[in-house]
Amino acid sequence: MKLTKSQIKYLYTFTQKHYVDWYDVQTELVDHLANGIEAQWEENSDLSFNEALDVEFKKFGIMGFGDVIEEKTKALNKRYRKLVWKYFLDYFKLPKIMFTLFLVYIYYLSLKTIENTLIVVVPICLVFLVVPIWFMIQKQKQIKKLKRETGKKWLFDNIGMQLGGLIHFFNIGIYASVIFDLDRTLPNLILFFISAFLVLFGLTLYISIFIVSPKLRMTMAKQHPEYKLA
Amino acid sequence: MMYICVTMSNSKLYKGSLNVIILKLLKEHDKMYGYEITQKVKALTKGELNITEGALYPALHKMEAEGLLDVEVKKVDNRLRKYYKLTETGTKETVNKLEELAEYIKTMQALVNPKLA
Repeated sequence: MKLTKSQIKYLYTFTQKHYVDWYDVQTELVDHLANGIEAQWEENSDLSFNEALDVEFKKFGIMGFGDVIEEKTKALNKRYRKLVWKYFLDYFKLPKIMFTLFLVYIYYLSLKTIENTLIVVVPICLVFLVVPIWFMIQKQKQIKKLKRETGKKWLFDNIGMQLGGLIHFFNIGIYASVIFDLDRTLPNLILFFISAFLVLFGLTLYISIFIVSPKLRMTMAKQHPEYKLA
Repeated sequence: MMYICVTMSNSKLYKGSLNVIILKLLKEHDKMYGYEITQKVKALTKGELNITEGALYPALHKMEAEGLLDVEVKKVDNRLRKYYKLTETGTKETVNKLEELAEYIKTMQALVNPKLA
């Protein structure tokens, strides 16, 4: 005996009631529960849908679906950061390393020669402040639009919006006290390190927002036929 | 009955083997879905080994994130089913993990039952 469409729909609601908001996670759990219920019916066809569901849900333990969501979030965050790291390393290989070094050198030179360091520091920090905020607003709108149109929310979209947890690292405000205390009379080595830090910060931000996030969406869209690329 | 789950006292012995079990099954079956894996293990071990749901999915998701598994979602009956299959890296890792496990079993056998080793 197979589950009906309305029973499958009920299983989606059931997972949602048990704090699984994400359609990509719900889908796997719904199929698992459905398989379990059908297997029980094969042995005892008198069992009601709710009784069989209760037995299957209990198999997930006292935490219910909590562990699955937590571990899935961790795994996706890790996958995201791994991708960022992979593309980041490209900027330290030929030919891109020339571009990286060139940027660091230009920035170092600007810090060293322009008398008012704020002219060099403020614009770049403003960009680093505005870009992640702009990205998050855009993503939030995209997620809401998708939810409105399809009624679905996807975990990987949420991971993409938070840049796999890197969003906390991209809060330039944390580094403000060091950056705004810059003085061109500081030792060259320190100026060089600060230049390198800002360039690498910008590179990581660029890779996360413009390379990894779209890539993750494309991969997920390929995997899930129901995901609609907005 | 042995359980692969975090709450059981003997779990630590088997927890490390869960990934190997999954990899080995996928190597033999091309693609499988979560429930199918739990049932297959149960059948192969005649119910001796029971992979709990709370341990299986985190392991699958972790291996997917590590690039060992690839995913395909297909409509089966009136619902969607997520299939897992080995990537190229996953296939290589399976060989390594199986060799490691065989070596480990050999070592344990030498310690526990020197006559057999």
